Amino acid sequence: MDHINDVFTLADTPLRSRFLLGTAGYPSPQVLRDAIAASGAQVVTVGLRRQLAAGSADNGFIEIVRASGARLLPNTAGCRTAREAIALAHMARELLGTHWVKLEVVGDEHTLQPDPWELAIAAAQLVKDGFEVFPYCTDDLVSAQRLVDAGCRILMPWGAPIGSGQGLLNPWALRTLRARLPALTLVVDAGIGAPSHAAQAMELGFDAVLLNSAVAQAADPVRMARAFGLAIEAGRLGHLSGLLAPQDMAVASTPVSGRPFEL
Amino acid sequence: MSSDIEVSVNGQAHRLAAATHLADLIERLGHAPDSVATALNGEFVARGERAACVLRDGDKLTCFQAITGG
Repeated sequence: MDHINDVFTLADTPLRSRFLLGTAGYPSPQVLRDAIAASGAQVVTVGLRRQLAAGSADNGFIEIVRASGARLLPNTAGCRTAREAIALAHMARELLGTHWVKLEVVGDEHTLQPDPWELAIAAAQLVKDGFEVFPYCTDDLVSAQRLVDAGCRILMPWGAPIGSGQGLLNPWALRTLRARLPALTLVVDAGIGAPSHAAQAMELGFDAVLLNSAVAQAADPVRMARAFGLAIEAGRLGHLSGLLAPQDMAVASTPVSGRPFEL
Repeated sequence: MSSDIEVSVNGQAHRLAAATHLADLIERLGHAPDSVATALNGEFVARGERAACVLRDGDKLTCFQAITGG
């Protein structure tokens, strides 16, 4: 692959990897560290939570993440309103020293579906406050456009509900987003279960893929991280190379003329 | 004491002297100032504003720390 001519710029930051990796739910800090390394990811997501007790430890997970050298993308997981998400984003910026924020505002408890109204309100305020907002959103085109209107340069539509591993439930909607927002950085976030799902997202022309559970909950997270890294690169290569257009009927590939024994 | 106030810290009640500042409370709780981010009644209070933030009876303080996340 001509890596040199395939520069990926995320929020003005040139990156080699198009794999954004979540850091939650790994069996141990060591596995997390090795999975980040195996993935090649240069951006990893982190969260914030209420402190339970002074000096309460997290068994070294967050130190491993900080030491990985990857850029941190803090999220606003757990927020149900724009007000909560705005406050949490500010706290993340202070704690972690980054103006990047993965904006999550959930509107439904069962599907964890993003709330498009609260998301747009929070995004507009956070952009004004100087954040680079990475909204976790649905694949709905019009609500995506509202986020662009609010100042978002990156959108992260779901492939399927968080942690469900169902893959891309609505490829048509994702293709439509890609076609209608050609200049935007688009990242499929959530619902990815297998490397083939990630490759499909990249083949659709998405700029990157963000996932967590499919790696963290694999029997061998480190090997799975590598598998996803390869799949994302393969999907990107496929997209750049020009995919064969599907056709209803067969088209012979071997250049014979007619049948071999009939003149 | 009648001059005491009661504030909630991450859901737990704490009795404090009136006019206690947020920075003092963070120190009393044993947190290094840069180890937590703070919100008072749901609104972010920046580290640099804690020394000037006077706590009032009934305030709800929430302290946040970084964790792994997806």
